[in-house]
Amino acid sequence: MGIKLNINDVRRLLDRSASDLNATTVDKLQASRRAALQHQQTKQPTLVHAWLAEHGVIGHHASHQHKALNWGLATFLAVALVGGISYWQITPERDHSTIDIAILTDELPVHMYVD
Amino acid sequence: MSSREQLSDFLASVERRAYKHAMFAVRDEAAALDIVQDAMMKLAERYGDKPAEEFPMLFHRILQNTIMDHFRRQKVRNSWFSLFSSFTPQHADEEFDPLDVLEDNESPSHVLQPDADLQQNQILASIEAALLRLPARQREAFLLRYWDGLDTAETASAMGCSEGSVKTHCSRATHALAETLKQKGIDLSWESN
Amino acid sequence: MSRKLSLTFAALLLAPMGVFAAPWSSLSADQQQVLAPLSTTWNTLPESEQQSFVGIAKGYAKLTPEKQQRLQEQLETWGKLTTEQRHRAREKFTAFSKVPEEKREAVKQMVREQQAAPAK
Repeated sequence: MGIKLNINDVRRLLDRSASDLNATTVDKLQASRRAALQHQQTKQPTLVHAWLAEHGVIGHHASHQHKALNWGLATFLAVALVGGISYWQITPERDHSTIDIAILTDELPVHMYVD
Repeated sequence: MSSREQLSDFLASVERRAYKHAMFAVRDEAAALDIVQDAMMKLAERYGDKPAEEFPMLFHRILQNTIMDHFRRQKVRNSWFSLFSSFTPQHADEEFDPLDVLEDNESPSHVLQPDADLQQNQILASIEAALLRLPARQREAFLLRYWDGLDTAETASAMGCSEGSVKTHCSRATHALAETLKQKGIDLSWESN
Repeated sequence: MSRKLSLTFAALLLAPMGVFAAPWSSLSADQQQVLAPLSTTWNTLPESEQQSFVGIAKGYAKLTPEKQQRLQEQLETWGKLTTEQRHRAREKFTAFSKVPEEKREAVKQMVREQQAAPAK
């Protein structure tokens, strides 16, 4: 006499085990969730937009001489924001020369660190 | 619904399963909690503004990578050994890949919570033990497809492999599970009701 | 006036693509000498990588003669790697540097032995 299960039974049993976690674990998971939500990335063109408007770069009252700056800067920011990155992330690589020198002058050959 | 609400709902729906995923992989409660926290943070920070329907795939991909990072860090503590194996040619084929962590014949009781319904508990214990015996990639493919409900494309994306690989992993997983469970008197079939 | 400004911002947009990378000819003679193995591929390197190599050339002068020689021996190999390989190599090196002293020394000893008695 065997027990018969199908895939839905497996899923239900796994769900059950997930719902049976102890209270401490559950609390910690909720805390993680709240912490993560506080760091949620949201595009904030509105803040930048507000700054630009405030400084007369864009908007109805923008002065004429700012127009070229408008379009250049707006394009640039649009590209950066749409790409989900900030300007300062475009060139993230720092100068690795210190570690590179360490690797190159080390007793161990370079190829040991290469996949 | 605001994007914050969407993310909140998603995280609430996935957090326990994510913990179970991590527990199956690392078998350490503290590490599993750290991994889940890490993964949630990365999802929120990097993809918090994405459409909600992308969250499952993105989150599971991040979770997988975070689990792999955990193994890599553990491996790093023994990294002198891995460096040695990369240097001497005869060890070239023996690269330890944490993703291929193989069977564990233990049935850790801390994975399972006590409950009044004993038989259900016992069946669950058998299933979890069988899952723990699977190679990591097979288990993840199986869980992502059949527990988290990702489709093949999403699973492939989450695991960083091809859809063909996903299908292979799933098929091997289901066969291995059926075989293991049969020895415990459980007949596992793949038709759903 | 407006055309000049929009050209400026176009340049800013292009900056990440290495438009402002330093050509080989802009390096000093000393730097070119140190980085000689890279002369043919220099212009294909992204700006950030060039920065690191220039930094290596600058640091070269402060090294002992033994280290200078070692660097020269290894630079060609290093230069032939892809950016990604160099990136991963740095990670591995960093990780290895955190391994306890005696284990690192054990690896180095094995390497010395291998080099003393090559390929059996």
